Amino acid sequence: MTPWMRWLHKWVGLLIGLQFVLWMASGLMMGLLPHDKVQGHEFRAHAPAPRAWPADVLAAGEVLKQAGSAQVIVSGWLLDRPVYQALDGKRQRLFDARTGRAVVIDRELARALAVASYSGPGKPQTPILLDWTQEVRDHQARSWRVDFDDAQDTTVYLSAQTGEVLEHRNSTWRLFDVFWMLHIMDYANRSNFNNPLVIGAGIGGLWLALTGVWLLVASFHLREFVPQRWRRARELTVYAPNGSKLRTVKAAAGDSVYVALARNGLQLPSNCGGGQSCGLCEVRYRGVPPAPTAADRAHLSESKLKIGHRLACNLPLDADMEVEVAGGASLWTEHEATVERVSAVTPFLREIVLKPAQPPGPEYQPGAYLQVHVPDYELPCDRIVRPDEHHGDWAALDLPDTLSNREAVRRSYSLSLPIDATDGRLTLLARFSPGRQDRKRQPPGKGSTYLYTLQPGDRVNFSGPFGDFAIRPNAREKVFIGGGAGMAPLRAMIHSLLSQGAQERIHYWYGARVLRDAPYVDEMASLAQRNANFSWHLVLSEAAECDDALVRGLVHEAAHDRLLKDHPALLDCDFYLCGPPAMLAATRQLLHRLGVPDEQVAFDDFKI
Amino acid sequence: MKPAFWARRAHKWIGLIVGVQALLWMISGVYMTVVPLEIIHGDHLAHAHNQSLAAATPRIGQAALLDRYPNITSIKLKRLLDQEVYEIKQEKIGQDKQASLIDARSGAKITPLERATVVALARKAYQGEAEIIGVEWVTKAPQEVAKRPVPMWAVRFADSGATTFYFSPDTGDLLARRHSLWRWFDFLWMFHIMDYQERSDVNNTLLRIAASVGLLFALSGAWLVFYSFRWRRTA
Repeated sequence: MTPWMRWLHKWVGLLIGLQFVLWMASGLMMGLLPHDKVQGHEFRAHAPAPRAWPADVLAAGEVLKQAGSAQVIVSGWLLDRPVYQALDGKRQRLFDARTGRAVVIDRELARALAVASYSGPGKPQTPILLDWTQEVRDHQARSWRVDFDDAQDTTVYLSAQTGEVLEHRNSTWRLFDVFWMLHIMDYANRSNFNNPLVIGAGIGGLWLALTGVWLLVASFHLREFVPQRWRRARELTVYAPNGSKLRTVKAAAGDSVYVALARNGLQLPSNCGGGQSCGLCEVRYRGVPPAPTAADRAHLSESKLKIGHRLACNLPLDADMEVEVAGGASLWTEHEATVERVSAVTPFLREIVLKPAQPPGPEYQPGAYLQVHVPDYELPCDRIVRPDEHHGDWAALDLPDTLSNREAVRRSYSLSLPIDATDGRLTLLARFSPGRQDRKRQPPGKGSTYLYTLQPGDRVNFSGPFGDFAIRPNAREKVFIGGGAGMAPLRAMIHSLLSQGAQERIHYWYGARVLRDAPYVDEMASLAQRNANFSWHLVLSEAAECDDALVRGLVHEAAHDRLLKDHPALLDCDFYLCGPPAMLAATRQLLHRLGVPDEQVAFDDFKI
Repeated sequence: MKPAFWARRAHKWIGLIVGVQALLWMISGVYMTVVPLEIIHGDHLAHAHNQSLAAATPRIGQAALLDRYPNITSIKLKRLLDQEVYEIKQEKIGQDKQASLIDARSGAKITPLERATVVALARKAYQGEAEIIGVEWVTKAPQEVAKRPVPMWAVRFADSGATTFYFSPDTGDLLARRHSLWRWFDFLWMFHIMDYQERSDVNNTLLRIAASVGLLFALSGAWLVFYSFRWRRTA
């Protein structure tokens, strides 16, 4: 339930978030602006003291002769002049109480009436007659507007029918009115708070608040209210996946494993910051693990849960604990390497060979990935190295003039060759992520921009290796299916298998858009020629250049039609998948339909 | 630690402080937007259509009126049910302005209005079908009409909204229309502006503090939205 609430909260937050900020900001401002000033009381003169109604005037009933029709006739004073107001429906008329003649509120009178109602330091400007104005929007008839040149820009509005002062408006009110408009979301008339827009946003906001209260209750634990130093000390021991003990850190009881490690300088992979929503900070519990929570189930597979994998941000340290961390010691360490060679394999796939300062160990296995530390930078666009033969491809991109990254980030790249084939060099394959081309607002990828400016001799920092995508040590038939930059880990795995003399059948189905985008085509073809048990199939999704040697279509469909559909022992095959999200999802669905058990499908999800 | 971590922490802890108030703001806000303001005002419950004054009605003269009722500062000629009346205000030293109704034909004072007159006024104004179940002489104004002058007549109807009309015994004016939707609105408005006593002060310190924290809360949430939608890995 909670992951679902979290999902809902996040998406409604995305939709309503801005309005929520506006509600809070405008609500705060309306609370801060003094009500008296908003109401225009500041420079409003006191009402004149009541005075005796004179005897030498017409009786109220006699005004009816002039007015014709009225429901109410009421006495009043227009400065020093006794008058009668006749109300006839919505119409109001004014008559001199002595003569019975209709009174017209002219410019001079309007000015005098405005001055009489005003106690501030300003001087009146020439009155202006208005048919209707937003500033006294409820008054549906003509009005006089008299501006005063005080610091508040006070304006006095009078009814053009009766000379009554309608409102004193000032700059405080005008500011208030803007916040009021933002608050009630009636941008045209600023008066109707029953409009569908605000009702819709309000219901969205209510959802946001309800799910928020749910999450508040679900995400607080009693122990968080106790200061850290009053809580018992616990020991958290961290192991590498191979069982070697790495470190023991001290932590306060009740902290999550994620927080405890972060306090000790071990930043587990995470994008959500410990909110159980990205699913990256997994660790393996040594011993009898606590029952998985809903968040664990949402992010980790059943088989992982069974062997004790849990999200570190959701795993409280109630007692001393031992956990295994994928990547182990490498999480703490930062390595240095020198760029040795950069080659543009295709226009937007680049092979970068790094020579690490320390020789890499066996944990750099095929399928593993490194986190390259991308520093903050601001570079002119032409710092991206572009070989001549790819100039046309790059010219088609609409890149900004300056490429910048304001805070250091880490980006993950898989090894694309086994280290024993490269004499200890680390080979990466980086796809250039151009950002959204239809809109300027999403600039090119921060990591790929950085990598594409590298030249031999440059220094690079990285952490790693990480990941659990690895070849299983068995002799079963293997099917590799990949696309795009998914070439990298699959290529490393295949090289590793073949160089170690694997005898089982190995298929590699790789999809690209056009031939020009497909990397290592010749290399794969020559591997296939030299190894009878390895077959290589390039599948292109765009028709133009397909000849007999190439297959056209989507890679998972092609693999299905030509291999899997009629495979006699499909359930004895192991599958290794890596590629763009859509391709990966479609392939996993296909294998699921074909009845291949999940344990036999290994995949690396790049998410982009 | 990462900014995402701090954003989440801030949002969570600020949420602990104003989360419940934010929920109350949303509940009260949705109620106030969903129920049309005209209904809250009770426009559907009472009509204030006045009949026109007749030109040929015999009335006592102005001089007679001023003579009989000293210190008049204001005169209003209007209709009350079937008769024409003067509503006058008299200024008396050491006393509040006092309004009274005078029968325009005879010049006799008819206020304070009697129960039967008020019942007739209520029947005429009321647009529903329900019966009157109570008429009370109110000397201490209840919360729902706290700003109106006492004494008043309260007329209760047996409808589903527990409608109450309040009449002035001095002018015969319908001072207020109250019904359950209005009462809910007022109750929720109290939570919206956090003035639990008068339900009217929008500049109170509690509201100012809560709204400031609420703004921080909303901003931390918006900040967090950025992190919640970020990708996982790139290659």
